[in-house]
Amino acid sequence: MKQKVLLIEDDKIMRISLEDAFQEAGYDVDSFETGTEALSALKNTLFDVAVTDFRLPDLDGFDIVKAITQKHNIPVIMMTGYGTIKDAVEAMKLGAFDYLTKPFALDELLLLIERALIIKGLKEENTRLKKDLSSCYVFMCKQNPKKFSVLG
Amino acid sequence: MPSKEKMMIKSSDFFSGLGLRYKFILLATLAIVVFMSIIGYLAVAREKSILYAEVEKEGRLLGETLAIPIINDLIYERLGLVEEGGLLDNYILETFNRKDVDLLYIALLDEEGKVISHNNITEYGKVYTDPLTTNSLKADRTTIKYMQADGHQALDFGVPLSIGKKRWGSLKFAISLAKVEREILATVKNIILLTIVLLIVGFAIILLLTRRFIGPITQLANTMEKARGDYLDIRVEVKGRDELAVLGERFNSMIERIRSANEELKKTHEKLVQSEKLASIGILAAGVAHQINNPLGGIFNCLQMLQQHGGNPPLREKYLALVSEGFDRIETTVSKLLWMSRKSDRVPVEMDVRSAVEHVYSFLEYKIKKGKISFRNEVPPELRVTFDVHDFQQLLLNLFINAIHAMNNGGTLEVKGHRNDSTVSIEVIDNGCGIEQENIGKIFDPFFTTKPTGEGTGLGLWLTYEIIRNYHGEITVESEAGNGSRFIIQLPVQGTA
Repeated sequence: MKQKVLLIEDDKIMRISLEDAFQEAGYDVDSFETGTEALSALKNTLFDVAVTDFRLPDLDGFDIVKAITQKHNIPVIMMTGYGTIKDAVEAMKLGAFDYLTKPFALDELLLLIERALIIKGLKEENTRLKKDLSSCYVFMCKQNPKKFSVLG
Repeated sequence: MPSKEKMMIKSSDFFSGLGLRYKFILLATLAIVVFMSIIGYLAVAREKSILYAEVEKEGRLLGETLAIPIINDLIYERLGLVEEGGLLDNYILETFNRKDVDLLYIALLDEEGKVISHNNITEYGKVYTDPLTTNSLKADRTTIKYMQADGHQALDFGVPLSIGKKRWGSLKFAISLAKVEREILATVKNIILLTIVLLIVGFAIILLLTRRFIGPITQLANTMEKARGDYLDIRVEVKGRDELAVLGERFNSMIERIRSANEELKKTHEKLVQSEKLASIGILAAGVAHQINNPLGGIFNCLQMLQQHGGNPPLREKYLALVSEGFDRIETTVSKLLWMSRKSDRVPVEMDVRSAVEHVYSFLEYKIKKGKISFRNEVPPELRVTFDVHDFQQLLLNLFINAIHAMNNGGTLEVKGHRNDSTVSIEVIDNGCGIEQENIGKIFDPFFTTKPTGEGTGLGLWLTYEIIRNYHGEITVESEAGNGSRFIIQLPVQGTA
């Protein structure tokens, strides 16, 4: 199954070229011009990664990062223009995955997305493994309580 | 006394209020009149005393020369040698008719004061008891008294007719001083005439002198009056080499120095205006970079896609169109920016206020959105002013930047406009931090800023003020600390630069 990218960008050229590039790279893309539209789409659709412009007509990067990272485990990649690097760093503190300064090379972004997905995958796997481990642990405790009470 | 003091102050005010020319004339008139009065008084007094003395001498001589034959005749009459009366009457009438002496009357009295002969027959037999008569009947020498007759003064003579202790009576006559008075009057007239001639000559001299000396001063004063900060193309004509010419030359060189200083100031002013414009454009840099970097990023992406899929005609068309659109947008942004930074030509044209507001907003959109400020352009579409488009946008830009800085925590920026009979007013309203009461009077001063050193030039509002003043408009501000500010611009409908 293809992984899904949430693209938020109000600039038409940027949006269209990124849509095509993402599809080219093998992702499904849902793109939005405004933050509000994108956030409402999040309620019904599962996304694997979000790529957003820092400055949007309605919301800014902070709002997007907060809204996404609070409810969803989706890495957010910011695209910033001049003068917003400080803000981008601030957004990363809030939980954004990384940022790119415009103009950037497409490969750079694609690489970043790939890394974000890998890390997201690893995190998910890690969580799953931990969960498995703890369930194994609980199971083994039940089987042989004496042996594990020393360790407990 | 207060009223007297007041009058004195008034008269001194009057004198100091007079022009130099009239002061000279007044002083010269006073001097001439006082001088001629003293001279005239002295001359008349001297002439009067000389003439009176002469008349007196003449009278004495006449009296004494007449006394001798009269006494002889009286002796002869007493002795009966001559007929009584006839000879004496002849003497008296003959003397009275003499042309060289202006006699008013002549009378011969006996020892008792009774008239025995008179030029007027009706006086015969009367007894005189006036003081002069009684005195002269007793005296040894001629007695003289002033008397009034026919509106003139006269000298009344009483000559005793006596030899030793023997007395025969008194000879009385009066000489009119009318002739003397006429001569004195003629002298007074001459003096007055002379005074008038002196005054006329004096006036003429003063007029000539004032034309020579006060004329250049008046011309200098008039020229000074013409001098204005923006009009210094003036010179005074310098004639001759005296102190007035030096004054004129110094004035000319002073004007020259002022003019060069003014030009220097104008240049500095222009530089200041230009640097403030560039500074305000610097504030736009972030927004402009955003407006350029966004399409630029898209173009990069498209180019990369073209490298990979350039062989696919529909895709190639799509990306080339996007690239072209991106370049158009960058070009528009750059040309707008260049247009803003260019020097104003100050060519007023009929321009639409609403679209100018929109245009300036497009530059600041980024900054306004970043500052969480909502923007409302409520200028009616038909509102127009006569202004240089460039200047108008510059002044809006400064007001907007000022408003944005005032709204650190977001707010509303509103622009309103309406037209009265003769003015167009435009209001820029924010609900930011407002202006402290103590600073309201200073905000349009150059270099006044409340921002920390290094931020803000303090020239933005000053430049706005300067621009509006150039178009004979007015800018006022209503503000309260904490409650936002309202800048009101009023421009004449037929604004001219």
